[in-house]
Amino acid sequence: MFPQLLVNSLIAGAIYALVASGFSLIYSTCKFVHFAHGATIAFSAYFLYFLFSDLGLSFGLSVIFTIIFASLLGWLMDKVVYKKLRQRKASKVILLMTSFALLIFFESLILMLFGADVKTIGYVKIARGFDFLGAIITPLQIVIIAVSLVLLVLLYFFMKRTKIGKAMRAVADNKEVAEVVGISAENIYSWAFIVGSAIAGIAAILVGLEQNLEPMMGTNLMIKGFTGAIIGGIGSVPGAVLGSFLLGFAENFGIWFLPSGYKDAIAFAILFIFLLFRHQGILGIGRNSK
Amino acid sequence: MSKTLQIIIGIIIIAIIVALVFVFGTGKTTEGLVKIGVLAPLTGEASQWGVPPKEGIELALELIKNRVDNKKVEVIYEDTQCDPAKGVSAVQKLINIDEVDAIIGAVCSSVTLAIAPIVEKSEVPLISPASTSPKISDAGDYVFRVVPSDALRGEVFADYIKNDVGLNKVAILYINNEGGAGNKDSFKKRFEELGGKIVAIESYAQGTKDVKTQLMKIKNQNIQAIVIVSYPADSVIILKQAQELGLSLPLYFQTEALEDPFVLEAAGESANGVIYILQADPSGREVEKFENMFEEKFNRAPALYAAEGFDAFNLIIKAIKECKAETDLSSCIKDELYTIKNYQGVSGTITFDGKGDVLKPMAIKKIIENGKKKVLMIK
Repeated sequence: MFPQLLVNSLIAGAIYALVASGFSLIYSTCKFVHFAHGATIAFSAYFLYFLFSDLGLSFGLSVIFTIIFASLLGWLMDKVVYKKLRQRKASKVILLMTSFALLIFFESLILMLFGADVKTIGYVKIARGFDFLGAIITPLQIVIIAVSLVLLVLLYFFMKRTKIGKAMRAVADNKEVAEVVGISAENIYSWAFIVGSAIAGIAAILVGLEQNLEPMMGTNLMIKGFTGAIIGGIGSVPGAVLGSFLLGFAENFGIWFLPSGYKDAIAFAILFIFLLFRHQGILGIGRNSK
Repeated sequence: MSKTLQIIIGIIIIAIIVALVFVFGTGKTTEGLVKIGVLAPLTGEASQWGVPPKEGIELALELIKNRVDNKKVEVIYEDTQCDPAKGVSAVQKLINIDEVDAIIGAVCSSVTLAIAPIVEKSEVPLISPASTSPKISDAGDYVFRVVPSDALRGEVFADYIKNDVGLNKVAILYINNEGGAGNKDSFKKRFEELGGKIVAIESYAQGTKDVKTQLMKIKNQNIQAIVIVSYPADSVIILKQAQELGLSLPLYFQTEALEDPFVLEAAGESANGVIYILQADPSGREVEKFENMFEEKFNRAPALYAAEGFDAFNLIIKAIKECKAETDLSSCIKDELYTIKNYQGVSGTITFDGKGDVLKPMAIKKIIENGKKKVLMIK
């Protein structure tokens, strides 16, 4: 049973990581909690459903459009809402409340447009998974784990090697100094939203295929993704991915020994422990704790 | 006119009005008039469950031409908005000011539970057309309902699985909220009373999308079947993940969720062979007649609980007919309701048990394939 438990943990962790990495990227650059990231995921998942199941577009095209749509949606949220608030010198708390409002707004919009029923994208047929070293796993679940790991590597190189990535780190480190050397913080914020939301689009596709669609899926995903990001060290993208996997492991191994009703309790107990004893998270070492 | 005189005249007028109200307004119902109060959420979020019973009652009132025997029937509607506090003031008004003989309501279980002690104390019988909480069974002698308690489903299902299918060892997987836990408890209690054994109980939070580890824990036990209490969205997830994990145990769903066409479509082949339980569809000439009359009056098909409102009203009228000579009409209605057996209502066959709960037949269905269903048994 141990291999299966390991696989279950990896799948859960990978899904949390898909949510946490985009969220964490936006947080580390813009320094505020963008809860509406969950809305980007949910709305993009419904967009994929609309393209693929309603309009009958090919799956490949639908996937590409969904990722573009997610980027655009995130960028618009920043441009239309957050930017205006920043210009009025809104505090972090105001931005946080705004992100909640956006999340609820988009969930209500989904409810209005698509109704409360469960929706399935129906691209992957439900079938028995295949045996892999004593555990059962489906092809889609392998893709989810692989994508989340590849994303981790890609994001690492993006932040370290590309011009935009370096500029993002510069703004994250010290916005004023970055602006002095000619980096436009507003531009970099836009980029953070575009890249972070594109990851949300990828998450939307994979989570939508694996878990079906529901209007409130964004909130549920965000709760676990946020927890993973905090455990891993908010502001550090690799940390967020690591924290998400740790969360997946803790939950699944936890309820193997404890009654399964404690699943969420385990997740939040870990969150509390980290907040109390290691608020900078797993990968918080050596970072200047501003 | 001096000011003192004005005050004195004012006081006299008020005194006369108060005296008149006392003489004519109170005292048990005026001869030849029966009053029935209705408590339902007529506005607000829950109005989708409150308006249909009202419409059912309006239709029933029209059919008896506002009269029972030689008495006029008056129906007084009060809006509760599914709020226990509003329900309590509304029931106080119905009992103390309108002095109704019987009440139909409330719709939301929370409101029915809040007003139960008041009707009990005032000895006014009440029939709820829609409250399903198991707690209402013990809410009082004067409290009835024409919808089965959530507990009934669990009891009948336990009976079916233990005695008709002949399984002795099962595991339960349930959604951890009030409804889910209540359903689980009623199944567990009955199944163990019958000598069955619940080997494992696992749960998940509402909104969960991953039950793989729970299913694995159950799979490892020595059991014959899994009993599942779930909502529509998670039913799909459970079916999908059970299929993916190659779980070959029979699944018994103690929920009407599988009746939802969206669920069947989403679950596809993974739902094949699943057995589930829900209230049996009422059928027969009376039901058809009701549906036709309803459509004629309201220009649309009756929504959920319209038939229950119709039946609750007619049951009270039937009881009043039996209570011709009684001086205490309210208590008599209560006593008569307890004697109702196999009443052919439009919401199903109605028999009240000793707690005022209705016993209605349950249907056990099986999904054959491609979303096609077959009724295995009516119990």
